Amino acid sequence: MVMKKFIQKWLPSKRKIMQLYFALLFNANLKGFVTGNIFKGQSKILCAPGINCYSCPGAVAACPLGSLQGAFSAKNRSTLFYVAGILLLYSILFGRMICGWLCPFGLIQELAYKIKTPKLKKSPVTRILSYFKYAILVFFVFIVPITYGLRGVPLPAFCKYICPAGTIEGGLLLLSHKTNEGLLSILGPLFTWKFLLMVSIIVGCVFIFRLFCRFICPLGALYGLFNKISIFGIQVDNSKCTHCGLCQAKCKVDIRNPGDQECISCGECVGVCPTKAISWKGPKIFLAPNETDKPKQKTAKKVTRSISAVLLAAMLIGTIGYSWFASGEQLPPEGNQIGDLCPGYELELIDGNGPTGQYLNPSQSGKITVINFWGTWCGPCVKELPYFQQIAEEYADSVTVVAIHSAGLSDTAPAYIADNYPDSKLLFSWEKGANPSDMDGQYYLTLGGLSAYPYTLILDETGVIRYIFFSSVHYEDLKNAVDELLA
Amino acid sequence: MTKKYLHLLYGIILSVVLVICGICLIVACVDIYDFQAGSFSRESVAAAFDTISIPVFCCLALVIVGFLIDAFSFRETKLKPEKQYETILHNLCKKVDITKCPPELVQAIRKKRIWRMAWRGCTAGVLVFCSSLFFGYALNAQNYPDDANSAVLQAMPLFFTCLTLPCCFAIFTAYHKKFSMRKEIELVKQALAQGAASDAIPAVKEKKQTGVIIARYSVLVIAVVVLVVGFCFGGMADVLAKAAAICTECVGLG
Repeated sequence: MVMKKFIQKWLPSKRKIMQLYFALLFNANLKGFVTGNIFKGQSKILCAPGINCYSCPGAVAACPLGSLQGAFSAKNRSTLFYVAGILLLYSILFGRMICGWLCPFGLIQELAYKIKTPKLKKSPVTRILSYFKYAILVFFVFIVPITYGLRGVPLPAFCKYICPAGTIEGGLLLLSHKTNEGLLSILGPLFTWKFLLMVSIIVGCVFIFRLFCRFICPLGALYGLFNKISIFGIQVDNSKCTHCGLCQAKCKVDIRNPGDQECISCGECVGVCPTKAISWKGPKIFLAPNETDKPKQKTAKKVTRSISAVLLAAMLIGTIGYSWFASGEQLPPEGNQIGDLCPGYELELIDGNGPTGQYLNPSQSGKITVINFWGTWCGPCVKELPYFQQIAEEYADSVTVVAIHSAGLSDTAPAYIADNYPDSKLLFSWEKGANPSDMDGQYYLTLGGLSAYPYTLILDETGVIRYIFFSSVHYEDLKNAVDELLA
Repeated sequence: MTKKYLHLLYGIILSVVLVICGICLIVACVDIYDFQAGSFSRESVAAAFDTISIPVFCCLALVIVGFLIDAFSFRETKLKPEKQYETILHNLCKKVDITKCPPELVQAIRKKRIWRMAWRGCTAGVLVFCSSLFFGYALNAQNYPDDANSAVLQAMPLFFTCLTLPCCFAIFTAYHKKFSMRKEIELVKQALAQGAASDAIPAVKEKKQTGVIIARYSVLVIAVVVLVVGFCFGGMADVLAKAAAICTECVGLG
């Protein structure tokens, strides 16, 4: 009897199984967790519906919020159409059902809430605080990224200053791996702030149900706007509703009515409604008519759960098999440490019109060489390019400065150079990947690039690597390094 | 001591340990940043976190104990319905015939309602004022210097002031409304008890779903069209470019 009660209590609900499925599905690159490298496949053209940082080693899909903020500064305006289309489609199909059923970060929060501490229940205060996420949406997702995007500087403000999912899934998982030790050198105040915020949110989630979803998440705010008209979700039959308030009492989020902008469609209220006024909405093909009126069929339930367990196991085995055996091995970086001789490579130089027909071998230039890997799509890269130009002009006789565009989107480089650096002494080059979809070029990988841009190396006259910068550099850093080598 | 109090005691102890753990983690993090700026290594970070291992393990042990105790306790909590004052009042008012109502009760109800409206009006006013102040600042591109960090830091005081002020007003209004409605419900009940019930049966209005359906399918069509346009003109290339490289900003690395 006790065992039966125990199983009944601890058997995961359909929703939990779905959440696990989708957390696994969006993070199917299990190999990445072991190797510390992020996934670079074509599936990343699609955005996951929930918050799932694309810098997570396991992520196989893009983050919708990161993509939206990136789209505001993209040279190709159709990117905005593409991302907006995906977001609108998700919103109108599922609304905030995504938060309740598909979002991996929602699952993390719910697991934290399972810790048995006294909980802070909803109140008029939390109901009012739930509007805070709209302010975050407007300021951090729209105003700041658009303002800087119009200046040509990509700035994903929400990801940069707030997103705790990025800190956990991207930051901590990447930093904890030995391969990415170099990234530790660029930790600074920003990471400290994001880490503090992440710890506060996770500790807060232990006491408050889905603290991030309810008060902070701009994606939830966006989806919530479409909750009432979404195709799937929860609906209330007003003719049956007696306003008894049981649904509100059962609900852990700040709803006024089931199915409103705060409702995450978890479905817990469906079972408690005494008049069966609350039901699932959706095309009849997915829902049986009068589903809520049906008596519970134990056999069907058992079969469903068994199938779910088998599918979950199959998915796990499949993803492990895929990530270990199907994907190709990456070339190990060679000669990329400080003190190593930089491997020789013929770089094709470009200008505003495309290839100039000239080539440069950075390790054999006979001068101090500054190599910067950048991309037009990368905010910090674009921001620091003027520093390289300044160095190229100040030390024109003794230093060669070359900015190499990433293999991904390299076709956008000439137009950018023509617009911003038409007669610059800064040399430009590009890399082309083996496949058109490759983000990183061969030279970047050979020099120890970790798929993180910008990446800068400084070679001495003999071609030996003397400095490595894994992230943005300031003019003073570059100048000091060059002065030291010249002395 | 009953099971309920034991559970509460356990919860309080766990909460305190959890909060201490969180604070220790934050302090360790700040400590690493303060004293080792520029020279981080896996070993130094691990050494710094070594100091907080005891509270973290205590916390973990407590969490596991809690789960084990909870796994074998089968308490059933009775759901207490949330009172929907607005609906109750609305339904009661529909039953009242104002002509039969005693004048002093009508006056009292009216007074309560005026106060409620006045508070709502004040909150709306504060919200409009703060929003215009905030948008006036936020939409002015000149307020954003080249360095994004300074821009955001500069905007934060105004951002939080513009949020906190209406929030405080709204919270006060919410509690005032709840209190005032409870009083109002009592007054309406008194009026009904004194024979102010209306003879007419209130008609039930049925909500039309046509608008929702039109909106739903319009948005669906727009979404598909926008998506197809973006896809045909190569919009996904930028998404892939961003997603296939580590976004150092996104993970908080700078």
